[in-house]
Amino acid sequence: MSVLSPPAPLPRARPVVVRRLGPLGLACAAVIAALAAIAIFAPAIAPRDPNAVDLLHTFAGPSLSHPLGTDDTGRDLLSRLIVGSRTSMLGPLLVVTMSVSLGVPLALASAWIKGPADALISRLLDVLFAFPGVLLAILAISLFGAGLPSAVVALGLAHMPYIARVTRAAAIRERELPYVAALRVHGFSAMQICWRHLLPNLGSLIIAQATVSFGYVMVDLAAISFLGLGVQPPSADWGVMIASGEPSILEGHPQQSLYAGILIVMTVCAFTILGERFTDSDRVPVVS
Amino acid sequence: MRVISFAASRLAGLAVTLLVTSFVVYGALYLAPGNPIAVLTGGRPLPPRTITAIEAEYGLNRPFFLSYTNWLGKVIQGDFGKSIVFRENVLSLITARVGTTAFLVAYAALLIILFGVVLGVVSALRKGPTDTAILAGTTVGIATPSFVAAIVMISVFTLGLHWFPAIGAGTGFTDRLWHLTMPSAALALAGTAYVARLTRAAANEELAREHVDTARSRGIPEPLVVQRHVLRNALIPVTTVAGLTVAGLIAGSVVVENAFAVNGLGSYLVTSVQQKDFPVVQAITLLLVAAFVVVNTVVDILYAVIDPRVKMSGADR
Repeated sequence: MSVLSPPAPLPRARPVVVRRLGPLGLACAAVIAALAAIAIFAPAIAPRDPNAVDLLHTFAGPSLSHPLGTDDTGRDLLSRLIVGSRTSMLGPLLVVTMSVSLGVPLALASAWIKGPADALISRLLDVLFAFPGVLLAILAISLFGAGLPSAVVALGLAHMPYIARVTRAAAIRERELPYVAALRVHGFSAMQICWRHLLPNLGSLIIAQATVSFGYVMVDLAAISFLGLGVQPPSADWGVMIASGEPSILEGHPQQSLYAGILIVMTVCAFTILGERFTDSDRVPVVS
Repeated sequence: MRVISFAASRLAGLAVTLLVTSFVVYGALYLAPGNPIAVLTGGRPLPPRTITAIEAEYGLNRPFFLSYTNWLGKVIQGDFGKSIVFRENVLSLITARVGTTAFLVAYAALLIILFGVVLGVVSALRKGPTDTAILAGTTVGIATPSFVAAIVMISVFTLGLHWFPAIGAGTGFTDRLWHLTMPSAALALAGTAYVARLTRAAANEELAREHVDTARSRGIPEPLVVQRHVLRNALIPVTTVAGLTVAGLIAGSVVVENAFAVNGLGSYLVTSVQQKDFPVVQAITLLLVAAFVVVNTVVDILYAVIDPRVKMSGADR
């Protein structure tokens, strides 16, 4: 006599994203989500006015009223870090949005048309590659004045080729697949095929590249603000905070620069690791 | 023959890129709000005689294309115009600072190649905690901007240990070496981490290949297997990426020089932007981009020479 044991319950399938990211990737996604929330709700979260000067309490140590202490003019460091997350995160977001919305259509058109136009666009991208982003941004700033807008536009142009090159290479492979031929036979227009079929299939690749780019752009933008050419003091911004804290380091107060630096490294790490997980391979990320 | 025609096509590409770059750097004058004169003088009120002189020097009253070729002709001869702030030849202002920047970049390049390759190889050969530690360290290293590395180093090695000076470039070779150690290390950090990652990946790939197994089965001692069969093959892709990383240092030096108050091209570029000294900005930008492009091309050609398997696009096989 045989006893039929009830079938073991199937392990609950986890969503694809969770499996693909793994614990480390999920942790990075959580860090990014938390930072984004902090940036969005910064004015509500910041315990104090980030620009309120208090010359009686300069370089104060951690206390209940100033959890991370104060800077050289007695401003609350925690509040400045929180409010500073806004420009520090918004800048790279704008740059990446710009380079994706310029680079992807260019790459798709180039891969679709092929021939001399494609060759010309590829040469053009090669030339753009020759211009290091920070230098292009400095050139733009010398013409249009210091500030985030010049830097964002220049970096958007400089990072566009990275998005375009990856997208073009993948689009060329994708367009040779049988389903594209089938769609053409059915009489779908090039626009429809590119927009409704190629683009969604290349989506995860573009998102992966954009995520990695976000990290590198954040470094570039923070560098420009650090040089005094981007976000202008007294505005709170991580790059600005590193620069304005630098003179105090030798007086024995490295806190301001260190905290802002740690936040930048943490954020960039989160974005590059997440980007690598998205590409779903253990290869080293595409450097910019 | 193959390598020569490949090099020729690369050099032609280099010439085109340089030409376009010069066009962008000059054309930028016309993109800015206001007229080119306002940009060149930084909006300073200057006597009409000086303005006429600048107009004549840049050929601004001629059509754009003619004034561009006129400017380019002068640039090729090393005449970058006069600094608005110092009323001196831009070329002589720049040459005084080229050496410092070149020293900084070369020093950082040395650090990257040395530590990057060594860390990568160790990471590939020592599986376990060593590998994990190097992997974690390089992940953070790649994400650390040079100016963050700079403030950490100043806090630790200047403020804490008093080992290295925090500012200046020093005079004489040993003093300069001592002054530029921290700046070079800060500049090299991300690149070192990246090259280490790449070396590790390349070495792991070679370790898994059959020719390594064959060599081991023939009883060749492990050090020789690693040296002859793993490293020699793994270092081919590393060479290219290390070269490109080094080229990237040229732009990176701008930030590091400012972090450590090193008086090179980069800190002069930023000062000139702040002082609205556009002829100097033009010259330094052009010079740095040119250096970057030239190093890139040289690396490309070297790669073709080192690795006979490299696919030469634009050359007959």
